[in-house]
Amino acid sequence: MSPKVMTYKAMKRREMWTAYAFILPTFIGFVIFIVGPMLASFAISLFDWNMLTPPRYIGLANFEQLFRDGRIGSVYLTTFKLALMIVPMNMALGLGLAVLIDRKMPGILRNFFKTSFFFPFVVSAVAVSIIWTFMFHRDLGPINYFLGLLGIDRIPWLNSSIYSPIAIMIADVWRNVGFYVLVFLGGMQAIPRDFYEAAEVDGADSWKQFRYITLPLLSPTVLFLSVISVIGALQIFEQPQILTNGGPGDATRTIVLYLYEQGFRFFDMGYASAIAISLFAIILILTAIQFRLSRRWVFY
Amino acid sequence: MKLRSVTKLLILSLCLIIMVTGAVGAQDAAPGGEVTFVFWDNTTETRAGWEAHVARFNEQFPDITVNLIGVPGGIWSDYLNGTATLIAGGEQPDIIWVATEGVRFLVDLGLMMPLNDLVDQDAEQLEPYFEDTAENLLNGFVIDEQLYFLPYSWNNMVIYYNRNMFDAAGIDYPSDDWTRDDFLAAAQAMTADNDNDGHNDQFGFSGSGGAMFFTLPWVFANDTDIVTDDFCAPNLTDPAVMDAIQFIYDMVYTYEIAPAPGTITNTEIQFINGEIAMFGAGRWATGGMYREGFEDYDIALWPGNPDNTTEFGVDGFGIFQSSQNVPAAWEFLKYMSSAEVQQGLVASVDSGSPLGNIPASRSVAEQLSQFPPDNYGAFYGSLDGSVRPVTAPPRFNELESIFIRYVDLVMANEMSVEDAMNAAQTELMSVVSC
Amino acid sequence: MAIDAGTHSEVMLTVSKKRKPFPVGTFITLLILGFGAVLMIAPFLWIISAAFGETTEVFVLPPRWLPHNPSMENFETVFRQVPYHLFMFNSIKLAVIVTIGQLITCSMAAYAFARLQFPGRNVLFVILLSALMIPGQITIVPLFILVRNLGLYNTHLALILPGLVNPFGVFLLRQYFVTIPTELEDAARVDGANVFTIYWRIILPLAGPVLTTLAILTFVGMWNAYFFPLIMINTPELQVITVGLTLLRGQYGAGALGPIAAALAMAIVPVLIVFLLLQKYIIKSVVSTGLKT
Repeated sequence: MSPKVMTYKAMKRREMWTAYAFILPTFIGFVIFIVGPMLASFAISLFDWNMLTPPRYIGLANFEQLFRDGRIGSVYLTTFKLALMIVPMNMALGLGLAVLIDRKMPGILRNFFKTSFFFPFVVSAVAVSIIWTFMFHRDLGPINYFLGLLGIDRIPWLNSSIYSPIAIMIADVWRNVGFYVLVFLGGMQAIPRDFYEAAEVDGADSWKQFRYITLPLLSPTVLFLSVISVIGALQIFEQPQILTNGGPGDATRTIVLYLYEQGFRFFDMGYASAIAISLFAIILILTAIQFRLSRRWVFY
Repeated sequence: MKLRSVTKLLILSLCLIIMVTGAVGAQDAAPGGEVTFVFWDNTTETRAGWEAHVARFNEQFPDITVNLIGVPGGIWSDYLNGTATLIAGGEQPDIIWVATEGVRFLVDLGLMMPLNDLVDQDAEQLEPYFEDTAENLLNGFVIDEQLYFLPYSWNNMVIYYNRNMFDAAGIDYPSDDWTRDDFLAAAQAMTADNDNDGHNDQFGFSGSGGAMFFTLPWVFANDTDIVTDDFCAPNLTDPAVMDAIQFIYDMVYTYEIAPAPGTITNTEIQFINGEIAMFGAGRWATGGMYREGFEDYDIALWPGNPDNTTEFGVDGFGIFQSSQNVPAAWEFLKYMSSAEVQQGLVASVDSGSPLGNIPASRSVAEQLSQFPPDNYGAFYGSLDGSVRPVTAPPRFNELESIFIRYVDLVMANEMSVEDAMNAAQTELMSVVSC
Repeated sequence: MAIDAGTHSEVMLTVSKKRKPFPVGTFITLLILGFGAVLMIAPFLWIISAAFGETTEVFVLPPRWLPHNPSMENFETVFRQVPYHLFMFNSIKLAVIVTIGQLITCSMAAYAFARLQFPGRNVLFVILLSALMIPGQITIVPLFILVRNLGLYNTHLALILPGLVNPFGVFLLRQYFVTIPTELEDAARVDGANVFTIYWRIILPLAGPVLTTLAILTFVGMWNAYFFPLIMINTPELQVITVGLTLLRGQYGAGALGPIAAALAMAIVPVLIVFLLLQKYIIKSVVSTGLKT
């Protein structure tokens, strides 16, 4: 039976089955490897379970513990603080560098800059964090050495509640900013050149062009990047684990680091699952808020 | 739906296999069947080493198949959580390698099998082993008069010192009964700002942050511990504990004889380069120096204040309560604890360099004399003096995490020793209790 | 910045017809970018030089950009301690397989969500996206139990199969597919092409840039994977680079740093080479994807 003689309804039905076939591989994996374990961790959150002896059902006690836990508030605060440092820094620096790279310059230089800014992104977070652990050492690291040459006293990058979040932000921005640069460049290239030509005719300077053409037309890109980077920043794990192990105190202990510690160090899987569910809820809410607010500033 | 039935089928067949192998193991007179052995796959003892031991064991017991499961991990707790994940996932290991840090945790959960009856059965065969193993090592594995593990290897914290730097400063080498004041005087004499930038670049000592094992020697030297001896309460408000923490702080900030602690350090190389005169470590540090061909160093017992108590940690092998094949597991356990196997700890087979730990048998440990340091006797010999095992109540991981978190705040210069220890004491109340 | 930007456009407007002097704005731009580029590259040079020095000369101050006593000692130590060549092979193998697999699964699903009509389309899409918000660390224990029951424990399949599902990849591709004009498809459909032919012959060839972008992200993600291999793999022969790196940190992180630098260099250099060879293509792809939403 050729598709040409099929009825509209039959065609629709056929399209439906084809579509299901297309999403099937993803959904089988999704159900088995994501939904299943997710539901299981919901179940685990109702138990007192140390992984080694049989679990004991305790109802919502793990969620009650969330409210009694004296540290979890400050750990969440640290997580938000880090996200508030990392996300805007990546966005601002990424946008700024993209604007600079987009200016007139020889093609070979442009490529050199794009390449060198993007390269750290392809190196593993574990490797990057180990490198930065050396670099940040108060007495033995090259950063303080070079700052010393500039007359700046050595900074306890990894041994201070003030500097250690900054150190983690630097390590993160260093690795990720190149990705933001390239994505912004992509967004900028999609903006028709005639807009700028028209603006120049009207006498708008570069800043005005940036403010009234580039920025509004980039807003979908900004939204996209801010959504994925907020989600990523709230789940940051490797960098603080290797650089500071959450310290000093809880100064760089992110929520994922904390739930990892509760689950895999202290063997309280039930409580760790409850923490994960609280994080899931918070990310869900934040993402919804981002999309809701975006109606006011994103220009489609 | 389908998946569930597949899983069920898998579990069912798995149970069948276990039942069959278990039954076979019970019928045979000479032990046979399969046993699974979990060990820490860090680099101090290579997997190849364990495989060689198993091969030699199989020459005597060809019917026992030993499955090796190496759990990787940079630190001890990575190993423990990897093992727990295995068990949570349904793996049923028979034998586990474990260190002091995890002993009470596992025993407290009722996971380990007391070995007393098995030891009694083979008393004669094991007599040389117990004769040759220091009482202090065995004591760490005895809980409520039951022995749970057979010691294999161990480490104590000693001071490594660079002889060239002592010579250059014209200071006598430390003796094994030196005091913290002697230590401080020596460290101060060897600390210098060679490039005159206002900050020291040559240090008398380097501590290591992050692990409790490196902090406790100073506490033990004050003849105290961070929890009470019955493991029923934290003891951080003890002035002697606070004094020890204060000293660690003072080394960095008051006397400036030590660099800031870091999670990854290059201490051994700086020691060889003459940038650090002394550091604290176990026997594991000798390997790196051997490979670099550096011999101008020696070791001394930890300086006392005034108590020359040495901290140690011991590891060994135990059998899981859930083991389906105890006879085979026991044979393997006995073999792994033998002097023959410990022989492998003296030097690595492939490179000939000394390996990480000290053998548990005194006679095997004597062979450490073939390598530097000259004062190798401070390793095994310390067991005849005053020693204390690393403080490891059942919830060791939480104790270490809380304690180190507050010590870090002190070392970040953000909390006074007194405030930090008081806060840690409060937080530890629910963790260390009876 | 506003000031020199202004200078720049003025120069453009007034002088553009005559011979151009080197504009101040451009000069400052290059200065800023050049400084940034140095900051990005310097740590790598430092690590690579440390790797090729003697173990005793690494991490001395002032930092050395070239080793004084070039030596392969650190590399020898790495290979004596761990089978690092196997770690590298495994990391590359897993990254390549998962990348190819993900391109197939994600593009198929994305095509369905972008172009086909079926009941539950929007609901399923939102459900899929919500998976982005689950912290991976927490599902590890249930996943581990599952992997064991499927008989995949300590096999590379335990890392490959879960890696084939990527909601973010589906999202990324779908956003791109919806921007492809439908005219070509309509024409093909009139000619009797079925859905698969359209997907394979028309959509995929037009989606080169976004597929490359996803390939990079997936490859990098797999290359970085640390937690999962740590739990799922227990024989060194099957282990990956990231776990190998932490093994080299040693028992208390107090060992020699030289071998770690060598291992880091070996983790970096292959990526560097591939990246430099393909950089034009890679960068063009990420840029032209533009990640429209």
